Order: sequence, then C-alpha cells, then structure tokens
Amino acid sequence: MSVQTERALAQSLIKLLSKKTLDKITVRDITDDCGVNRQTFYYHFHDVYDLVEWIFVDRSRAYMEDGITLGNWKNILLRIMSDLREDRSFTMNTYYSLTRRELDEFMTKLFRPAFRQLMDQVMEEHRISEKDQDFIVNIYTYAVVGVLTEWIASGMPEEFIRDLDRLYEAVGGTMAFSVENLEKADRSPFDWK
Amino acid sequence: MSIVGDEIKKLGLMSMYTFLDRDPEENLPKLIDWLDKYTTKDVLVEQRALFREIIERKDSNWYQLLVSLFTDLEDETRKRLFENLVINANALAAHQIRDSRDKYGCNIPWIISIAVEESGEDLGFDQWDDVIEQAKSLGTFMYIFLGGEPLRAKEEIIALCNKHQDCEFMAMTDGALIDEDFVKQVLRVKNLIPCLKVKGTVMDEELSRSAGLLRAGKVPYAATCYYEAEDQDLYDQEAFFDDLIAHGVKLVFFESPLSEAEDRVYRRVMAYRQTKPILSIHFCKDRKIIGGCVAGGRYFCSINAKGDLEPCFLVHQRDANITEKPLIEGLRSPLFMSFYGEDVPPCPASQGE
Repeated sequence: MSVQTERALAQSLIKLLSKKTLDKITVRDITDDCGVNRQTFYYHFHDVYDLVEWIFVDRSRAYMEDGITLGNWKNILLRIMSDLREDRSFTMNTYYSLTRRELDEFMTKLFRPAFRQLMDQVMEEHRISEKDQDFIVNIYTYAVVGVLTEWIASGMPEEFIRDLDRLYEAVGGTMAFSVENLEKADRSPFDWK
Repeated sequence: MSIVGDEIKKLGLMSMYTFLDRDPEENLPKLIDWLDKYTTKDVLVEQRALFREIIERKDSNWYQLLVSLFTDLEDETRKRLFENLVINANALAAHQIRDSRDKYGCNIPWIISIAVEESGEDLGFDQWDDVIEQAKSLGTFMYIFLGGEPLRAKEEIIALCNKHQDCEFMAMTDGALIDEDFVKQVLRVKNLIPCLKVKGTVMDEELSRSAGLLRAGKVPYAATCYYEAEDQDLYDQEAFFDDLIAHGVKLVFFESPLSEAEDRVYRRVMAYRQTKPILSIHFCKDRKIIGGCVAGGRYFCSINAKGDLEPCFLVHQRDANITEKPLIEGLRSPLFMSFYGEDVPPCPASQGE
C-alpha cells in the first residue's frame, strides 16, 4: 500500500474518463481497470470523488515542486492551463459530473497552496495578521478559480491563454499592494513613528 | 423525517459542536439544552438525564472524564466521534430504526458485531461492506469488529472504516498488532476505536505498550474484560479500575454470563460509576446505560466469521446466514423473533439464575 497504488488508481480513473463521465464510473470499473480489489480502493479513498480530489491535490503538489515565486507564477499558471487542455476528456468529464460547489472545492485545492506560497514571500517584508493573510490568499484563489472555471465552461479556448498577458498586467504586484494597504490600516495614528 | 430535514438537523448539531469545541467548560451546559431541543423527547431519556447530572456537578468524576475528552483526543477524531455517535448513530438513526422496526415487525440492532477474521477464515471486504450497506439502510451506524483477531485483517477493517465514514467502528483486539502505522491509519480514518482485551491480569506489559502508543497518538481507545466465576477476583478490585484510568482508558466494557446475584464485578461497576473518571458499561446487565441485556437484535446482533447471525457473541445459536439471505430476513428469523416484544426468553448464556 503506497503512493504507487494511489497513482495507479488515479491513472485508471483518468483513462476511464476518456470514455465516460465521472457519474457513470463505479469503483468496480476503476479497480477492474487497475487490477486491484475494492478493498484496496477503499483503503485509500472514501469514494470516486475522493480520488478526484486526490488527483487535484497531487497535481497541485507537482506544480509546486520547484517552488512558486513572484517570478515564475505566470509560467506555472500557463502550464496548469495547458495541461487541463491537454487532458481535455478528464477536465470536461470532471467538469460535467461535479456540482459547482464540488468543482470550486477541488479547484481551490489546486490553486490555494500556490497563493499561500506567494504570500509567504510577500510577508518577508511585511507584517499583517495570519487572518488577514488568509483573507488575501482567498481573494486571489477565488479570482483565479472563478476565471478558470468560466474558461473551462466555455470549452477552454486557446485564445484565452494567449490573452493571459492582460491578466498579468492587471494583477502584477497587487498582492504586495493589498498587504501594504492592510498594514497601513492597522497602524494606529499614534503609532506612526 | 425527510433527507433535507436530516441535513438541516445535522448542520445545526455540527455548528453546536463547533461552539462547544471553542470553550467546552463554558459551553457544555448550553449543549445539553440544545440537545434536548434537537432530539425527540422519548429518545435516550435516561442517557440525557445522566448527562445533565454530569455537567451540573463540576467536581464530579463524570465531569473530569468529559473534560478529558477535549484534552486527550485529537481534534478531528473527537469531532468525527461526536458526528458519528451523537448525530448519525443516535439523533438521526433513532427514528430510522423505529421506522424500520415498524415496517418489518422485528428488532433492528443499534450495534452489529462482525467477526471479521477467525483462524484464517474471512468472508472478505465485499461481503462485510454489503452487510454494512444493508444495515445502514435500516438505521444501524455502529459496528464492532471481533475476531479471532481483527487486526490480522487490518487493511480490511481500515478500508471498511474509510468507506463508511458516517459510521463508528470499534475493534476488539489483544493489542499485539498495534504499531505506529496502525495508529496513523486510525487517525486518518477517524472513526475506529481500538478496544483492548484485558485477559487474566491487570494491564500487562503488552497492553501497556499498546495503550501507550494509542495515548501518544491521542486516539480514543477502550478496554474490555470478559470473566467467569473463577476470574472475578482479578477485576473485583479498586486497583484494577485505577490501573485502567492510569493507562488513559476512558471506557471499559465488562461481559460475564454470571447471574446478577453472583456478579461482584457488576456491583463494583455500579459503585465506581459514582466516583471514578472512567465510563464502565456492563454489557450483559447494565440497565441504566444500555437498558439491560441487549441481545437478539434488541440493540445488538452478532455475525460470526462464517456469516451466521447470532443473538449475542456469548450465545451461539443460529438459524440464518448473511451469505445466503439478506440481513433483514435474518433479523426476522424465528430465533431473533423470539427476542422481539416484551416476552423475552431468559439469557441462554446466563449461569445459575
């Protein structure tokens, strides 16, 4: 029992998703394809959706492997979007089988760690409370999850990826700016020195 | 109650838990008020009265025990324990069990014990998973893994717990196979309570080792003792109860076929319930907590490693097998129907009453 088993089950699910939507796939389908028994599946996962979540988390981990920085996050976002496009059947079949709420939850798992890491870098030069940091991390996560979900809903057009530069122009440097704003707001007028 | 109603009830109860978790000592009394409001008046009447008694006397043993649940257990595991035991297995299951009982005209158990493994015999994950699915549809959300030694089927029991996250499981084990990985898996699934089988002596070296590992992982665990007349002296001692408490045990079960008149341990259980910070339950006799003998599907039924349905793990009578027919048919078999209604036969396992 190991990460290899989890990965093999994930591979089977991704393979099955090229043929049918998630809601039509049973645990038995996955274990038959993978050549393990149901016990092995359930040792690792509560159900098929739990495995989908694992795939999102695992991918997020892979994207973050080299560390995410204020310098490379644009390329990482580009990679994520290209991969989602490349795995069209996985992405679209997952999209059509999940409720909006579930999709948001999984996409949040995919993106939040990256914004958290960016925040840690911004925080090297600033001081705001943990709660405020989470607040800003959430704003960025929701923004990107919202934009990407709409992009997936519209069939993942390639033009959008080409237009990403506009997004970068629009948000570049704004995380540090938001942190500074909160920092200023916290400083009491008698504490300005 | 509709499914939507249940979901709303559950949300209410979980937000209540979050509130309690924030400051248990301050918020416990409020919790009981809420619980009274959320559950139907005739559900768990005795238990609720007992609970109220507990929180109103802050210097009492019960109060100490309750507060220790917040200091000694891992947060997420405690939350799941509350969700599964208080909400799923009681507040929500109570009416489901009642409906099933009315519909089928037989007893529906609150707890089912499963002999998941015995001398190499094991019906396997798929069969037990199927039994649990059937039982859940009737309203049963608590399960006990018996053996042989259930931890010999460790992957199987972890997989069952992991699949049925809305149920609470207990594994009766001699403790030898408890290791760091097992503790890790229990903390991962969050709905398995290891129950250490005390045999012969007070907690021996092996059990102490197991209890130590579980305690360090902040896993909830229990102990269980089966005794007959000749073993009574081992447990009929204050030192035994104190030793359990010293090992971090918060819940202990006793099982014995002795008649009430002969059973000295039972009397000690009743006495220490007033004074010691440990919940002890006498499985065969406890009227106050479990309403007397629970066998025959009244609150409990037992399935052996071959799939035979038995009224109790002390009573080896059988006339139905879950590999041959649905669970509900077993519960409606002549053997189980003899325990249905008011006129119940005397315990076949009981000695000399």
